[in-house]
Amino acid sequence: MIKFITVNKWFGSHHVLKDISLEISRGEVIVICGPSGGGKSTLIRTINRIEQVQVGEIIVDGISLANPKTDVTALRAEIGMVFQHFNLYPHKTALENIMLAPMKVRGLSRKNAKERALRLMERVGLSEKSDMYPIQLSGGEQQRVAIARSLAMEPKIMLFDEPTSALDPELISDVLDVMTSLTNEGMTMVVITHEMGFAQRVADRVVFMDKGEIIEIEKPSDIFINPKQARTREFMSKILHIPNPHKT
Amino acid sequence: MFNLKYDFDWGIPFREPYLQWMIRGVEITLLVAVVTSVASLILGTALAVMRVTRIKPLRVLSRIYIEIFRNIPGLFWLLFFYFIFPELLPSGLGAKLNSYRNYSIAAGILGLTLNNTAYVAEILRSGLMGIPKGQREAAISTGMSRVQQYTYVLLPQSYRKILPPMGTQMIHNFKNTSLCMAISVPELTWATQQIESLTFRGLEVTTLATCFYIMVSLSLGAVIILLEKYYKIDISSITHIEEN
Repeated sequence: MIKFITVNKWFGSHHVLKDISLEISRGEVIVICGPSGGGKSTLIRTINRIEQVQVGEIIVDGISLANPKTDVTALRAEIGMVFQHFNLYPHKTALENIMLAPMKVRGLSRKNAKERALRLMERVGLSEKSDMYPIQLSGGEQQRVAIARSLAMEPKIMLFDEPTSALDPELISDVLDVMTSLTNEGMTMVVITHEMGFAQRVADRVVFMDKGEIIEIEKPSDIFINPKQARTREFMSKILHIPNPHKT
Repeated sequence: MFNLKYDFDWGIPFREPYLQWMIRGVEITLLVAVVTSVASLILGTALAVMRVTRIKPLRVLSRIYIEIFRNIPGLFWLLFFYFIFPELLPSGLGAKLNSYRNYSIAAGILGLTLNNTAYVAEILRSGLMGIPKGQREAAISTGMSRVQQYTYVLLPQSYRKILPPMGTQMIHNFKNTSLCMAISVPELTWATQQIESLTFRGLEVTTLATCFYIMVSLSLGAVIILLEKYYKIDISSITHIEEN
């Protein structure tokens, strides 16, 4: 579904992605973790070409992003993206946020878009908040609306860029529940998160990235309990709050 | 308090043909104000978007326009379009323009619009630049085209954010219509000067005109405040700027 072939990217002289090769199959759930500044966000943002790469190729759903003939705008409509800071449109209500792209990009009638939006609001458990503006919603509610907004385009792939990092702890589980329900439907998902419980439950593979490189790719059970690489081990012990026996 | 040594004759403004001139003046002033405001809002929007696009020639073009019109007095543009512009055209066309009875009004509208557009564009650009880039990314990621991003996400938010300075600019533009008297557009200020030169009783009509300008400006300001109140829920909720 998504294929990275020796992808490299630089911001100026800063080498942010180093020889990334990764293949993600349909219906797979990939969790990416690693220290900040390690290139996780950049990597996920290359999939819908919000960031362009200089070297290498990315193929999404059989379409090469490097090909100048590729209609990237059309491809983006098939890829949902959820951001750390939600990025809801502040001048629109929750419902209008969800209805906008289906109407303007997919050409749905207002009536159909509204039906779809109401269904999605119900799905993320916010039926009664349809007419509220983002400012009137909690962070967790905003993020669930943002997920609904992406789902309204009926995407083939969902990208999550630290979806719970900006949330108060007690609001995280509602968002994770929605995400978990998506994995049950067979959605292809790439998730940057440090919610290891979530990764453990739903991820097919966990990718550990540091300094622009993929250090390790493992099943969640292996990478948490028995990481092969020293850097992964060090990172895991820190976020899982386990004392590192290898440190003197 | 004041010792003006002037006997007001409030009959003057209401005597014909002066009353007629004043009424006509109010009409022309409002006409010029509305047309220039609307036109400069549309043109200014186009220029502001050009100014922030990644297509360099458009950026440069917009920048040149803004510098030309922002750095030359508005009055000069009125004089330019009234006196010089027709001369620059092929002689037949220029003469035709000059013979057109309301050409002064057209020249006034043109000069004021182009002048005001430069300011509107810069105000709107500051609004566009103030929108967190996450907004753009959210729109991009749902497959919106560039035009759709601006139409449905970026510009509506910019307009809300720039209401206070834009209101001030529009009030400024409204009062600037009085400059049109220099090219004998029969607007309100021109009417007061005509009456003054015929009757030596300019103070009465100027006082009335002043009241008119204040009234309309205050109303414009009130409309802006109402709009700000109406949109408050939206502009206070700008999401954070993404740091990575």
